[in-house]
Amino acid sequence: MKTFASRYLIVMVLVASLVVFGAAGFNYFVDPYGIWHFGSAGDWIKARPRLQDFERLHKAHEVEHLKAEGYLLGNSRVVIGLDPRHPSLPKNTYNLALSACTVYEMLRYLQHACVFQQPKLVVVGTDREMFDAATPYETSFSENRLAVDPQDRPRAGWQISDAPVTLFSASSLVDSIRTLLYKGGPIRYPNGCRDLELEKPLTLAKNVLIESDRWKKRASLYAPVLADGSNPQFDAFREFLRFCKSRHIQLVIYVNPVHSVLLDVLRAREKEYDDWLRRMVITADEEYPEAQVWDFAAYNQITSEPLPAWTMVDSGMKYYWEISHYRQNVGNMILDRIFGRPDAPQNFGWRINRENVSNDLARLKREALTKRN
Amino acid sequence: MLFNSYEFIFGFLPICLAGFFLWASFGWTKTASLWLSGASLVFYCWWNPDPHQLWSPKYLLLILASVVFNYLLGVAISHSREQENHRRTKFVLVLGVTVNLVTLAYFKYGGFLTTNLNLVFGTHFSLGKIALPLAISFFTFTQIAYLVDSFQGLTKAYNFRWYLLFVTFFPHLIAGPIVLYRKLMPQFARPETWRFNVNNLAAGLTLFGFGLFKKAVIADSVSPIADGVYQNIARSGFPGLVPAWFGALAYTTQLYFDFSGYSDMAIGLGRMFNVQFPINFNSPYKSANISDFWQRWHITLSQFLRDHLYIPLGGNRRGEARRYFNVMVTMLLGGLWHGAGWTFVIWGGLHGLYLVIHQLWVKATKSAQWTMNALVVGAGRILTFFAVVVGWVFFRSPSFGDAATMLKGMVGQSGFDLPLQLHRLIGSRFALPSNWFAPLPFQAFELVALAVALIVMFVVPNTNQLFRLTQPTKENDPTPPPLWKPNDRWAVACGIVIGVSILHLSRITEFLYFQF
Repeated sequence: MKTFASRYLIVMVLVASLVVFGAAGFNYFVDPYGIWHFGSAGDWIKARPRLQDFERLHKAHEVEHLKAEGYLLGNSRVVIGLDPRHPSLPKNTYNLALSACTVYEMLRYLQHACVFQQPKLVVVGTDREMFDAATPYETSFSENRLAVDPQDRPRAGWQISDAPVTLFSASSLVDSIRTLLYKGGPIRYPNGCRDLELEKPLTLAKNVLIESDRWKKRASLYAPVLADGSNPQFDAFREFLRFCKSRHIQLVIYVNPVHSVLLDVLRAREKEYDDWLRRMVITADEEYPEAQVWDFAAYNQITSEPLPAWTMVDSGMKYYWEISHYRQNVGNMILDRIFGRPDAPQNFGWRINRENVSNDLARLKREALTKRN
Repeated sequence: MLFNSYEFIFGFLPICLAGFFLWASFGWTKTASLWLSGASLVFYCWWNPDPHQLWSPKYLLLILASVVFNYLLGVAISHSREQENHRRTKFVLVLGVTVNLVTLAYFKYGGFLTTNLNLVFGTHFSLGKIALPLAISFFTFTQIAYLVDSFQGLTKAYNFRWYLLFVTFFPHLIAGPIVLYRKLMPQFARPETWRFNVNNLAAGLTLFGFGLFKKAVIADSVSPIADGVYQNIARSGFPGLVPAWFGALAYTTQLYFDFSGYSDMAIGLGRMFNVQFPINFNSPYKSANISDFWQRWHITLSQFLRDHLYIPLGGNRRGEARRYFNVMVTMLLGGLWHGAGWTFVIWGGLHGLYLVIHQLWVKATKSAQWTMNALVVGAGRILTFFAVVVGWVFFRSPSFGDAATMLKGMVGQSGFDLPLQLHRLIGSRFALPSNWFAPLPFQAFELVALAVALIVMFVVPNTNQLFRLTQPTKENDPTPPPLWKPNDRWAVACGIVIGVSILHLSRITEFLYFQF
């Protein structure tokens, strides 16, 4: 019996080890999150469908290998809408924006990126949701995977902080298998940008009314300040501006042009919206007067594009995917306008500062009234 | 420290086992028992409600103070009994039980009581922020049982080292099974307990692996469904019929696999130290009626409540009405034991009501043969299962309002909420209204995990059947021998189970916000 039990234990431990280390080897080989093999080493995988849910993980590692001279920052609107290959941007620009990004996360990822390469230019696409006082960061955000701590001090071992969960976990194993079985378009996040045209099968249809209701709920939960009157996101914004200024990084900030249906929802509590924009502009002026601030939120032909009842990737809309995300042609217009390219639309995007922000808000109000009437 | 953590499996457990059997192999059983108690306290201290501190000495002091206090009272009770001083014996018992319950009440129910008193009297009394010390409910009940056993002359403990080990022995310390001194400590008096036994290590590790699989693989895979539905309610959502039932069933399976998995791990760990714990779960969802359910669910708690609450209240010895009253009181307090909140009280009360109804039913159909009909028994199983599912809605809901929203969803008062993904498939084909569809508050593929969990729960033999954990009660016990054998086939199967469970210990955090 004793011999049987000893043999049993040895076989059991060997099999368990084989399962665990076999899975780790397989995960390393397939690399579903694109964090172990970069450049040509990872090219044998044509698409990594799980990247869309693991942006924070993937980009934290990829940015180390790119040595970018320009960064695009912001939330999913920037991830999807801004093309880092735009001719006005530095040649090696990387889209470091993160879905549902907060200002704090944006600051931390820029600090992290600057460890590897000091950029010349940073373009930030922002909106009020990034300044929600009650949301410090998204659940998939992890400080441990960043090369510097919040005080900008180097952090040892950050590269391997994700090793246990990306190699020795069943969820990674499932993602590796899903990656190998994936038959859709080539999801590669070229330069950090998510090209939705290439990944049509991943995108679900969305009902405009349901979406609008969902945004109403989200907007109603927005907290301009915490109970003590503070807003940690504005503190992070101030820190972000100081960081860029101290490193002589050219900074451009713009307000995202969401669809007018969503803009109505976001501006439902008008005073809150106005206070946010005013405070953002004044803070930028105080901390980094050389930074450019643009407002692309508007009610115009682009943002009022008619919406079908159900929107899909191939819904046929020209400027938007749905009410929240604009297409890259709108992103190009934004960059054309900011960088003064000759073919830029003149009636789309206004440079704002603390002196003219009230006029800008009055303009928005006028446009909203005109649209309603 | 959690059983399902890397630090426990690859650090604490091997070191603790090696140290224990090393000291014991030299014949130093005192050192070995102190080693095991010390290791158990390290295991306990690993947990701390304040994430900014590595450990919190005040909770260690609390458990040590509780152990010393109850040990001294136990000794006093035993001495008083020997001197046949019944008044003093009773006084010490009442003192002990009262102090234990007051301590538990302060830490566990202080906030709940003050909130309710403030509501009733319009006052603003506050006890400040009270953190609930880990395992206080379990070590309080374990020690009350010890005091009562001492009072009844069933237990004597004159050795503090043994008593410390009894209370702190880490496999049962955090979440049971609730063990009795007279059942556990005689096992440490046997010489073979102190000798390394490779058979018990093999069986214990296998049991631990099965428990780990239940917790890390099954329970954690279905929990996102329940969490998604309840989070939706917390955000003022109204789940329709489909997500509400998925959420309720998911929580029912999650709770079973989570807790029974934990119990299996505890029993397996005990076995590694050559110690046998009582079983705590015996396929409760296969119960034929609600009384049967309570003999299969959290068995050691049911036994504790029966022996230390229901029977002292009079049990079934004081007439029918009093019997139903005793059942209700036992179940209401049993509900409250699970957590400081009215939803737990309602859950306990609901089960009390179920038990009373069942007893009335048994009385009414006492001599009816048709109740033994397979169809009637099957219907009883289904009814019991759904009654339990409804009970869990109160158990899981943070407030009565949330429970009501969930129940409304389950009876279809908040619409259907068929998965939005089905709209393109069947919505247009059958001209179904678009408001019948809504996005599921969880991933559709997680339903596969739920289906697998339900199949495992109802079809696969339970741990007791696999390992024959309960001892035969009669000489010619017809219970079949254990299915598990230490052979190569089982070794490979268990190796896979353990390997897969280890792969489930960590899960990479995914972007949760339902995006584009």
